[in-house]
Amino acid sequence: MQVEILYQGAFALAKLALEQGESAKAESGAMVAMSPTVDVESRLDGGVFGALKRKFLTGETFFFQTLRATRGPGEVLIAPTVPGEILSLELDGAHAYCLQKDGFLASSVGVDVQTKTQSLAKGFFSGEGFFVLQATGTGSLLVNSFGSIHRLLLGPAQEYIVDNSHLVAWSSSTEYEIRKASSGWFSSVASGEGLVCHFQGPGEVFIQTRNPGAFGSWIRQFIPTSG
Amino acid sequence: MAPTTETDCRGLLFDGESAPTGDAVSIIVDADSLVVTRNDSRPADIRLDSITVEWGGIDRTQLVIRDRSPAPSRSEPEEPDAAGPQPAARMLLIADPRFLDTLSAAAGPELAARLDALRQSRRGSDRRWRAAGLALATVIALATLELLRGAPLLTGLAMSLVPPAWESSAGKLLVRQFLAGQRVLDDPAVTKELSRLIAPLVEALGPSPYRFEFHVVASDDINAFALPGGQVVLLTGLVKTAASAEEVAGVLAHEIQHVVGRHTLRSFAQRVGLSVVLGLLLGDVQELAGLASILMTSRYSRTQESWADAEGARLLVRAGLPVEPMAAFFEKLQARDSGAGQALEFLASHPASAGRAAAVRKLALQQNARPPKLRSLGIDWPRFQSLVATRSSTGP
Repeated sequence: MQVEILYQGAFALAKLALEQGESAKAESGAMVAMSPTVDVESRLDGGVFGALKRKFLTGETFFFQTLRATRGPGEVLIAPTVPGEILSLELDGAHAYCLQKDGFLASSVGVDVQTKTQSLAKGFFSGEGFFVLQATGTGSLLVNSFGSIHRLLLGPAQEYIVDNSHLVAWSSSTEYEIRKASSGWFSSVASGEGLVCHFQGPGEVFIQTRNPGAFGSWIRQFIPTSG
Repeated sequence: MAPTTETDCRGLLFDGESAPTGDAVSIIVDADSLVVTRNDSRPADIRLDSITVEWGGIDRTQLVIRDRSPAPSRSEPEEPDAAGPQPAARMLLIADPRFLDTLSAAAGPELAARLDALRQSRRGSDRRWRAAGLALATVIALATLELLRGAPLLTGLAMSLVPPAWESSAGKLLVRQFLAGQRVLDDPAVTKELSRLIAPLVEALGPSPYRFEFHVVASDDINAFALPGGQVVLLTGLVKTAASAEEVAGVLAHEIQHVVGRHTLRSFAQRVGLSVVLGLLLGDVQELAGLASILMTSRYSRTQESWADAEGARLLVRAGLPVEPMAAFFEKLQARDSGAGQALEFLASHPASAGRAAAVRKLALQQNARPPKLRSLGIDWPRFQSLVATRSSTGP
């Protein structure tokens, strides 16, 4: 599967080129356009239980779409719902990534996307809930984001602090802890950065340049509350 | 991710030559070294006698193997370098924890012992997390069960915080609501006789936070019930059915114990919800307005009933009154209930378990075995019955 990201930026579009017989999986409803050689099937990835787990624990779609180039080579255009860059990652069987719970856009069939339980403390405080997605296996992985994507590259034992709501994806080789943003509880709350993720390398951390929750609150003030 | 053979495993290598995110490598455990091969076949073997192994990576579930042999920074290996990647120590990251077993099999005694300690630490922390998870799941399950059952423990806790004084004012409000639509027999002739019946019971109860008030209401239902805070309602149907003043005393002793046990408030709270109890807690008695009818149809639990029976019988003993008539009255009601198929109000609102009358009978026999000095209530029962009958038909 060849991946090309078009219009990278707020309104990015991903073009997946499939050989005959090849298939890709995508978030349900992400397909924008495709060649007539491609068939769309809804599939419960990981069986009914796996799908239920994904749906109810992470809020990720119950069904993955399977896009199969049945009648010859073809291409599929895929877009996420939110305005933002699309992150394209190559998995080689050794590199694995964690995604924020609704970050999955599309992948090759060789990529296994599973729900992963976070520890209690992380679940309570990371703002990402108790569950994140973990992508393992081999192939291409597309992740959606809000805003642009910035890559942080951490060497062994190198540390970095990220606001929870800006997390997109991070290497499984990193370690992270949830900590207070500043030393005192009061200033933690008052600074608007209550709890943050404290990452330690080696590995990559991809962050989005905008915070969807904060944007939602900002836009709410312009919405008339009564008609 | 999983080993392709017993000893072949995929991992990430970090060293001076690797990509910043690590090079994918395959690892085979040899007799005295890790045979590490990059995708481009360049070797990067690590001697087993120079490695340290620890948990790391996401959630500390991956194996981190460090090669100490070049040792340019042996003095302080964990020194963080915020400036950038630290090429000094070579490092392998392996996602499959089963590699630990493969490694142990090939390790010398010293390394094997360290690996074993590592495995133990993992099991320990796994156990702790599992215990924490189990505890959380248990709490959630219990809380759900509690809510499904109408939150008896929560209401119990909230109720223990409701002062008897507020309970009393709630009871007064409720009884006023109830009596408003009823014919109340409150003329002195009735109340004087009634007080002779009640006084020994209240006296035997001893100090109580509640001030008991008894109301006689004209109704053909054979019933008596308690409202929170010491309000007790006696229906004339019960007076008519009872063969003696002592039988009525037995029923009233039972109702008094419902008040003492706060059963009314408890079952009421479970029926109408915690909000009312919380309202009471905040002193908002008005919350109860309009809820009197619900209270009238409240059911006690069997445990509450048998508790009130037993404590009621004990109250009779303390008051120097016979328990036997109480047992006789219950038996009479039960016989009538099963015989005529007529739903007697007292039994309906005070659900009878099969052995209830029998249990009171047993208490009566115990009393009879060691007969106390019984007091006489000094009430001319037939006269009182006809007085009540007249008053309830003609009205005040």
